[in-house]
Amino acid sequence: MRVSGQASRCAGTRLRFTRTAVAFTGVAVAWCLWSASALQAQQWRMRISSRVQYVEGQSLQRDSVPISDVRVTNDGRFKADNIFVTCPTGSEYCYYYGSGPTLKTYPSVLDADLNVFGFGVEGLRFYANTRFQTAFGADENFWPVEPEVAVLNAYAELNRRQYRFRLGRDYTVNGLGFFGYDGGSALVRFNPWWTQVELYGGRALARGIPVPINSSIFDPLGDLKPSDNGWLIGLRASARPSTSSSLQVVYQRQYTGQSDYIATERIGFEGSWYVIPAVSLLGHADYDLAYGDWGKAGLRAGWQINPMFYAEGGYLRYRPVFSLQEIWYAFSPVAYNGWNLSTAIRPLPNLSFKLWLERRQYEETDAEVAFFTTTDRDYRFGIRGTWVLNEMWSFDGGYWRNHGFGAALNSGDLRVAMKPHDQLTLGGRFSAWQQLEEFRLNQGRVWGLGLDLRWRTRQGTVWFSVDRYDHDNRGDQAIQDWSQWRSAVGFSYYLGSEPGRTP
Amino acid sequence: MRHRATFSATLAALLVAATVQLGLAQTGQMPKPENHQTAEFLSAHGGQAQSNIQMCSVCHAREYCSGCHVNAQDVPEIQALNSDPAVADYVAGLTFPAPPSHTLFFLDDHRALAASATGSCAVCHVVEQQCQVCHLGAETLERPRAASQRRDVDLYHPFNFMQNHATAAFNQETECASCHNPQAFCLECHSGLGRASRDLRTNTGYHNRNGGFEFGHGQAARQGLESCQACHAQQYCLQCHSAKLGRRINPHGPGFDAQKLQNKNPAFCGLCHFGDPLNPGG
Repeated sequence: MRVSGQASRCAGTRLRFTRTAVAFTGVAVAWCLWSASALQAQQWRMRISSRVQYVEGQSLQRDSVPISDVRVTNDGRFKADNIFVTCPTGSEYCYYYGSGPTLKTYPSVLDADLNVFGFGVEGLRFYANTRFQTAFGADENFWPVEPEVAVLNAYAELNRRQYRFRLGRDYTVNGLGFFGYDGGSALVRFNPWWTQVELYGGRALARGIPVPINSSIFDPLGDLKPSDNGWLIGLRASARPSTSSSLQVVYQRQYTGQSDYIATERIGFEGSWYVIPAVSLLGHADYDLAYGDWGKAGLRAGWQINPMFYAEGGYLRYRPVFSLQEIWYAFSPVAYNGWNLSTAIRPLPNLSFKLWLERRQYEETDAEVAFFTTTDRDYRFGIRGTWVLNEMWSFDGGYWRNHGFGAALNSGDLRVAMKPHDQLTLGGRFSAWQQLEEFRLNQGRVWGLGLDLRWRTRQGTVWFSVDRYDHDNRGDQAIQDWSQWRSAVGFSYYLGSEPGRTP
Repeated sequence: MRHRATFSATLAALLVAATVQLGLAQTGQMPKPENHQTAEFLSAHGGQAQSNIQMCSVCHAREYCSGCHVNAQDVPEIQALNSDPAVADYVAGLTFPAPPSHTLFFLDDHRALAASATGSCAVCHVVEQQCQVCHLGAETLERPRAASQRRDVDLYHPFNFMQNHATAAFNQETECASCHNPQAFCLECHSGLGRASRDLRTNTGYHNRNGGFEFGHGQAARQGLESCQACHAQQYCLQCHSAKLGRRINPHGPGFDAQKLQNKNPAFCGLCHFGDPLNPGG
């Protein structure tokens, strides 16, 4: 008995994507033409970057069998073909997830950013960065493409030695994370200590996506979707007491649409100190004033013992941050604390190795029960080596393990790159991994083999890659089959003033 | 005496001719001034240039500086130098040492320095382009090139990350939500692939490693609440954990400070409770 199928495709959706595709191309061409013609009087620089991928997604399907067809063993309950099933108490049916059809789509992204300067006013410029994204193909619905047109930045800037003003859509990346807003910022620079003080704020954008929090994208939240857009305000101060040390403090508050109702309120600290050029201390911490607990924190000490050896170790803490417009804080999330050790060894100038080890322990949850317990300790370790044989050949390989409380990964890869020409790179890669996901049974091993090509000039880059993955030793056929093809082709192109100044 | 004068004149003429014909590559092999050879020169030369850019102009054209200083247009001292387009090609073939801070782990460690010393980063990195490759979702797969090493830099997410990101995300290796909105990004894809809850059914057997997951998931949820959102919308959890409806199972842990949260946002309690749970009679 089928109880769930794949998402249905409808004509309306197809029409939407057709429209998007036309808009995708049209806007890009229009922007190029406009840029080229209207901006001749100024200096400008533009980057267009695009990619089209081919992605196969291995779907899961929920299915059920009558409980009378299920046999009970010491290892659990199984249906006739040895597929593990779950039988809810009192239900006449047992349920399981099996591998569903392979979904295929062509996700496409076009990024265009434009920098216009040289207006005869020192430090004045306009900057905009826009992203268009869509997906093509029979199964395009499964790929996230919202918003199909997104303005990531669009601001006017006046930047001089002592100050900087911005007006428009911008984002801040600071010790508290990555936050977008429609508004402005004022930054003042002064001595002593190369001090900077910045005030920023405006209409808040949702976290991790450049749309307002009451955008239709969040309609699936139903009654829990915020009805009003919120406000973001932040104050950041940083200083460099010496060339070897730096400090930053940032305070940020986000209001809901209703005045005085706080969504988030946090303060963060960052600091670095190079005791001597070879010895460093880096630290950060943030405190959630709304929830009343520390969030992320870390302290890391590094020592370049000699040109061959570098070692570092540190403490870390992580507790996720949520908004008071969501329910999540009601569940009392706990933090983990941990330590890590890392070392880099460079026995030869063209040969290097990195090794790392990390241990984490979660704080007490007070939610353990006798019939279901999981570990509260994680660990991870890995090694990676890079060998640049000569101008033409380089090799890179690594192995790492990650054991967590609900998921684990055992993985390795080996890559070789050949550079027959200064502008051309050809690469091959081989990988293998085993993975346990989200408290699910899993089995087998995925093997991957891929090729890539990159042609890079001072004006831009063209690249292509294709990968094949095969999942073998799937003892239980209900285990999701990861066998698939993936491919991508893309380009970046710089034009305008000083097009050779690529990143 | 006459021969000596002729010899001297010839030698001088040859030296002048050699100097005039000196190629750029040979110029690069001229001995460096003493102060260029200290370990601190790379990080400290800005102050020296600001105090006496004329001294720099003896050997350096503007294009030499802009080989590293991607913000050259914003630095008046560099703009004050003479331009020599031929130098751009010469500089393109040079490699410059990375600062001592840029160890092999710098990609993981850079937040404190980047947050408090953005001015220094902008010397070599075009913030809007190079930083956004990672900090705006890594949608464009163009790899930034390390100016100092002439090689492509690995992206934030390592090779094959999309295929095996589950472990990193579930174990909160980093804060995914900072760049990826769980509702719009994670849940959308997981739902389309049949991995996320598309209806409000519970105990469907997805978390099948232990049959007791449905009633014993509390510890896992408090440890990994952030990753639960990648598949479960808020309504899903409220079926059992709301005081308004359903099983009304209290999800609050020890030390849950409802009063503090209500003070910050009086609407917070209303997400799950009718009325004011801290003042039921009020």
